[in-house]
Amino acid sequence: MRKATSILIITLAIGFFTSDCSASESMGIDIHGFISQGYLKTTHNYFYGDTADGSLEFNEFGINFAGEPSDNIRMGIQILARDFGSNGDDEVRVDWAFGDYRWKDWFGVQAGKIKTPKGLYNETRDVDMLRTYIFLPQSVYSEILRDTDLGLLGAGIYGDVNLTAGGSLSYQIIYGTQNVPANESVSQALQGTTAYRTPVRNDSIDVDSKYVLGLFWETPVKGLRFGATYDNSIILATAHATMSVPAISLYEGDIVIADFDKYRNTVISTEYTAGNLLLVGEYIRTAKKFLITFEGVPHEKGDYSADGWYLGSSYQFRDSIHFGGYYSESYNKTSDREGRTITRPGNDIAHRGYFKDACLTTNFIINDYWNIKLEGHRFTGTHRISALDQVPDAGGRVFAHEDWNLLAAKITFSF
Amino acid sequence: MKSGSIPVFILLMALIAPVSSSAGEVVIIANENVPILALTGDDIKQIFLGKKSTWDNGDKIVIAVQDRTDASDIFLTTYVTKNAYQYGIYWKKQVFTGRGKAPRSFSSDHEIVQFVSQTPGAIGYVSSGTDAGKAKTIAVR
Repeated sequence: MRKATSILIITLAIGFFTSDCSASESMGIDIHGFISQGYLKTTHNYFYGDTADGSLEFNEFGINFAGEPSDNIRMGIQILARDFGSNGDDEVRVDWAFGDYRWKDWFGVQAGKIKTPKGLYNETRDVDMLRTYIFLPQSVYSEILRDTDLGLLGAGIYGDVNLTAGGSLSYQIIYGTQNVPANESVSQALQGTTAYRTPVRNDSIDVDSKYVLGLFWETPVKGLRFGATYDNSIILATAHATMSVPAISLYEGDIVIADFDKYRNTVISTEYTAGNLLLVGEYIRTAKKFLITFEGVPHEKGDYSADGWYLGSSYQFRDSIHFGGYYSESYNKTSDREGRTITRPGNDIAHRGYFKDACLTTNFIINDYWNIKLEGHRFTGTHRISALDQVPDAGGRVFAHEDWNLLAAKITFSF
Repeated sequence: MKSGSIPVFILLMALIAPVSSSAGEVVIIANENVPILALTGDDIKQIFLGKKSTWDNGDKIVIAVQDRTDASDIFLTTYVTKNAYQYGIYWKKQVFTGRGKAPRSFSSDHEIVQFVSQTPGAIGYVSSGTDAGKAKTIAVR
């Protein structure tokens, strides 16, 4: 936390005390940064943190340094700290750090910690001022899976190919591994989004290997682009039970292993910009094949797919006010849109099987450095929120509400 | 309409009124050492989005843009198919993912002519009729 405060002070100091706030440059090194603070309030359930009572545990700040030692070589690092309810806790982490050699426009090589494409917006999901919405649609940009989507420690190639009359094509291929925090919300997703409140505590989440492919086509039609991304991970998650749940033969102290042979995401995207209007639609399909064992005894074998989609738009009124909205749906199982198969002894909450989100948002651009957003969500279902964050109601039930609302507000400074 | 509603109505109309832009043309200029005399509209788009980063002789392309001028509005919508806000966001995405360095930005035709004239590999744009000085004018095919 102390380190995070130091980074915050440095970021603020650089932002406020440089003669040109849009960027600071020292000895050929470009310095940019951002700081956001938000507020979340839900009518029911807990959207990462104690949002039912209103939560200020919603902030992020980052600063990056980048330089070009020669015409073809680029190096840089971005450090990021964020607090999002039970996640992040303002711990300072390296967001990306890599060296880049661009031999030709159509071929470059990168090595280090590289932001990974997933859909159109994954690489910039933590940089609030780059979009109209506060929250990207959870169907494709799930907060519960954020740590598995962000960056990859490895190497890759990329390039931009000019197709002349056919527009232009950008591609990226990355291979490597990931460090995924074992104590945050992603562990809940990997262990199965059950209704039980934290029955296991993860000891480690080991991403053995992962590769990511991204292809983006800027078509000859003015403002129209398409994207396709694909990634596959091999993951081994080890946990121990912190409470007994006899209904599923899990007892306190049991070693629980989730072994994923396959964790594949495919995202198809399209975006159309006409003047101040932007329309976007994306579809995601996640294929999983895993085996969960309790004390070496097979408990659950899974081989199925999940999916989701959204349609969204935003419109820019003059320079200072942007309105936007989207409708998003996601499902735990493609073959079960109503959550019927998710119910089992001790877990009768079918709405853990889906998540539907209608969002309206407003983004006020104060100037080049400041913006304020106000956003409302109408949720149906609880598939995309963590069991870790839920607090039982008076009857001892968690996820008691299928229909619930979220109000979010956020202010961001960037330079 | 109550008198108190009139200022609110005027304010709302002002907010939703379309942004005005003066009609006119822009001219593409480049440093005299840049090894081309003409570019296609598609070339210009690729260059100003950072997707074409070197000239045919291997020299690095240095992009210069204008900050919120009429010339900038015309240039960006005509050649880059983005408005000024969208163009700014595009480059911030490059910066905050480590992929690129934002273009140098200038507030007038005069400043951009000076920069392009003095910087090898530089390309920019100015309002039609601006004295290009030592920079050369690039034809658009």
